[in-house]
Amino acid sequence: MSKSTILVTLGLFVTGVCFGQYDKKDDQEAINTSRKLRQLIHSDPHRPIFHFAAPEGIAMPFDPNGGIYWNGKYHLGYIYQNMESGKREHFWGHAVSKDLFHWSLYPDMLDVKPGDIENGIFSGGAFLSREGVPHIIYHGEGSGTNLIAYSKDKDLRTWTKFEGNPVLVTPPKGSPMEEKYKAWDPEAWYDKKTDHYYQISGGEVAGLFKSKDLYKWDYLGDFIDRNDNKLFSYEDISCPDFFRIGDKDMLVFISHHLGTQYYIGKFENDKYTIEKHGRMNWPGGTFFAPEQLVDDKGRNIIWGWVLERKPGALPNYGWSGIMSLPRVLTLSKSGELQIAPPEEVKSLRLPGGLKKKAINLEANTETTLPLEGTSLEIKLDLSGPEKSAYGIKVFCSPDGREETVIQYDPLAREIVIDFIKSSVQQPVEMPTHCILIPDKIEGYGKTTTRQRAPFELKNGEKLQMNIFIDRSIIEVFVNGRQCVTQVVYPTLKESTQVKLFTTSEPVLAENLEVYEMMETNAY
Amino acid sequence: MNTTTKWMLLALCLLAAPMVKAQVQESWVKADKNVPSGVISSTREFRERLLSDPHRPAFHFAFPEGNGLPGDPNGAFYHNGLYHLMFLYQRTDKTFAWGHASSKDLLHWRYYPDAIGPGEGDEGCFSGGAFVDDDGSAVLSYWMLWGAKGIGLAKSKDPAFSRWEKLAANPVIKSTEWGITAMKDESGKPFYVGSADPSNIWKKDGKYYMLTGNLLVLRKFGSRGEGLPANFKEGTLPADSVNYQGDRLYLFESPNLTDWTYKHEFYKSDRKWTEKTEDNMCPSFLPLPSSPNGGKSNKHLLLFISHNLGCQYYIGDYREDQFFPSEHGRMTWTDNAYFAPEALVDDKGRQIMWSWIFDDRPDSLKNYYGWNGIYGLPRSLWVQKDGTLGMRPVDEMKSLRTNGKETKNIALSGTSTLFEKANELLEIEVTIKPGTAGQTGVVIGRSPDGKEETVIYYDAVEKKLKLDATRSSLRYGRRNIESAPFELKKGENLVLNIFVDKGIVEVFANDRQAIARTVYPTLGGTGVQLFSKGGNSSVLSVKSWDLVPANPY
Repeated sequence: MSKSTILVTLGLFVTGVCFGQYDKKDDQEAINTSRKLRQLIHSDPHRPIFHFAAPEGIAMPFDPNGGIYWNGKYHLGYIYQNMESGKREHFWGHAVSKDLFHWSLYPDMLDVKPGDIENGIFSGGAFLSREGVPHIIYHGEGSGTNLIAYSKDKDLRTWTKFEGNPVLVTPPKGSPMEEKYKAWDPEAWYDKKTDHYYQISGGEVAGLFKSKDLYKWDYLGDFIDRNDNKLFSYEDISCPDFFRIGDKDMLVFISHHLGTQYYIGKFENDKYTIEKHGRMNWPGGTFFAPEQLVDDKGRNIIWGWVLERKPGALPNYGWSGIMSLPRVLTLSKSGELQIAPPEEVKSLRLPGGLKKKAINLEANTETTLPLEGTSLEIKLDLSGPEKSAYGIKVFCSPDGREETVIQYDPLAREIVIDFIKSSVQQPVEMPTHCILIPDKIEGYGKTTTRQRAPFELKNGEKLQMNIFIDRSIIEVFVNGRQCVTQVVYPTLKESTQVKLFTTSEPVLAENLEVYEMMETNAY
Repeated sequence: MNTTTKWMLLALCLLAAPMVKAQVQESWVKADKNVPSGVISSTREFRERLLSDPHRPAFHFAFPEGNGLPGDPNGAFYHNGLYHLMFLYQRTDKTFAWGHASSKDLLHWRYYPDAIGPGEGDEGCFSGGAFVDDDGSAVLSYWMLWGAKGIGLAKSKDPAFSRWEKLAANPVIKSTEWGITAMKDESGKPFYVGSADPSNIWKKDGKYYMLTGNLLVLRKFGSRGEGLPANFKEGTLPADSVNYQGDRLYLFESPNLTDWTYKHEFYKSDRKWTEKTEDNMCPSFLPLPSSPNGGKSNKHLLLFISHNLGCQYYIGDYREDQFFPSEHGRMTWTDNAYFAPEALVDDKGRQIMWSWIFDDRPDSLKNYYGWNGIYGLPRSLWVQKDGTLGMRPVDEMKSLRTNGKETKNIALSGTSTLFEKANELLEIEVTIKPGTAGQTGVVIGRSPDGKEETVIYYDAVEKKLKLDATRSSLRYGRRNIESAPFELKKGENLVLNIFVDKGIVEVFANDRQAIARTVYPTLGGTGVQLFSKGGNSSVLSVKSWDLVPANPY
């Protein structure tokens, strides 16, 4: 017997002993189960094909977290609920990509091991330490603490929980610090100028902390002045992400009531001075829990978890959790926030597509485009009306029973997504809140049939729409400075048409491009 | 932790952690009931297991799960911007099905429901091809292995190619016995043709054509003793056995896809090229472009396997319903490890091929990790000016590159270390002036103690491109030397393009030769060296890139 044969035989013997314990039928069952589930998920008509979606199971919350560009790849963590132990445990999945669209799954980024003080891994973000080592700060669910983990592995596959944990503890009841802050959704960064770390801990208020070494943190006070924060009184500041953009400092965050919003200002001498507040979500919409990273090109890229509002009557296909497209944020010369899809999205366009230089649309008409689908990019410029609404309808059934309307209303100065007819069960109404319900949302009831985002065309400016629809999600980028996100659930198979429409004034549509989009999710 | 400890830990894990059991239930598969949480946990745990496999490739097509044995690539076609690829796998013990995936860039695949599987009269769908008809519908041709034996066809039912319907006329070519159809010539004398492994269908002057493979015919009527493929029983050889020996394909013609008439043998097998013990199965017949990026030539390429000697091809002329080979070449030499091919022609006119490569891990590990089935990188094939086959990885591969590095002008007289520790996923492009060296090339996957390494080189003495895997793994794998005919022209530099992807290594040389081998390093070594032996050579440039994974898991 040759040496190699002996080795192989020995190997087989050793493994054979182990596998003796192991019922081969169960193996086959596990494989069949995975395959069936994959094929079931694939068959869901509402599962997006080019928006990152959770691979399986419950992902609610599905916050993107721990985003970092490292060694040539984008790494994105996402919260999901591991039900393996029979209870709902929040872990972070881990996906990597080179092009922002095709994701390879890695083993979980962070989970809970026996002996850990937290019950689950809640929202948080990534930062580089003084030495340039990737770190994650997160909220330890159920523990009232914020915690840190780091990775010295160049592929970021393995993360070690920080020896100095917890790095922040909610002050106990009755302590003088109670009410000042709590340990909740954190954000941290290393500041070269001061050679210090900063931590924001969100919640009803957002506290600011400073540390020389990540171990000992000093409380500096409110990061956002609780008495002058431009928010509704009921709103919190959670999922904070703080970063440099142009020559400003931007905080992107959510309130659990109204979703994603932001401040632009300046952070100097341990103090953040707010110059501007804006929203990225409006009642009826669900753009939530944003995460930001800076890549090698210096781009500030954000994702958001887009909460689903799937009608209970629709079947369960064994998954939930949709991520928005990645969005690139910049500031214009005048300091206005600009929002655009990354150029990589162009590589998803399938060959062919529809291109039209100009179409004259009469008043009070609808024009059905000769290209249809449920996963499309639509790009066009519209001009003409000054008093009447106009725009695009997507997910339209030929008989008009289903349609979702995306329009600009020049009088109200709003981009409106009207989803009252988006499903065949009408009227379609969606909650005006995201997760927490305030006593009252100014100007709204408990539900709405339209999401309305403020937008105003400048003098002589055309309405430039770049729309992405993908099975159950719509994202409308407008003139590079506004973006509206909406979930809808068209249920008729034939709801695939795209229409341009006008009301009382004619419209000129120019530079129309429509593309079918490729599938980037593996199933 | 040393390696032995790691392996012992793995063994312990196996004892400690049987996989979650979860039964497939009709109710949740139809989505009319909630998916039980055990199904989710089981799926997740299973994926974690796939991800923990140190030899599962990250950018070579790897089966999403299950047993790809055989795991032939099948039913490849291009339509409306997407490449479609089917993968044969064992759904249960002996019932074969075709998994289905599509991609825009040949690297990132989306998995569909199975295209075809057991049922509707056939019990197992075996190897075959695909064809896109003028109306944009696609037709799969497959071997109905058990049940109503013969050749079956299935047609796409929707523009997305997600649903397929088998033809009611199946089998469109009926076997009179397993893989064989008995016929009679004009004089009433019986003869036998293959009804196994159909090729892709093609269309010419309004008629459809398809080839069938000869394994079972060869076995029964042409077989002669040792070295024959799967030759279980040696019977008395028929007098006309010479008429059934060697690789043969049978041409069928149809006006409508349902009625097929046997025409004749498609080409003449020749002992200067192949051995009489070799069969022709898994055939793919397509026009061959004149460059890696397409362009017309007047040549066709016939890709196929013999079961004993693996993947090979003929280049030749296709006229008057006959194929006239002018070149024969192999894609595996020492054994048959580079196996079942499948190819398509895309919108640019490129011919792109995949191949199933044998997985040589012990069954225990294949079972433990719950998958097997790897394809070679998509290769672009074309006919060179001298009439021989050109081959290189598709340009799309470049999109996986990151962290590029380049070093120039390294004089080699012995060994020079390029990286002590390179990235696990690596591409290297090295240009070497061969000089006086007898052998010169690249060592990859070298462990720090030198106990494991894979050596890729040009052997100027033997005029061979070699991949020495004898020390690739301490534990398993073929551990032999693959050796492909390859000769540098006078003054020509050696250009090696090497891809390292965990359990598989692939090398392309000067756009005209290639070797792909599975290797199973156990020490986690990623060292890279350049070397020359028996003389000096000089490295003009060596570029390397870390590659990013493309498989979803």
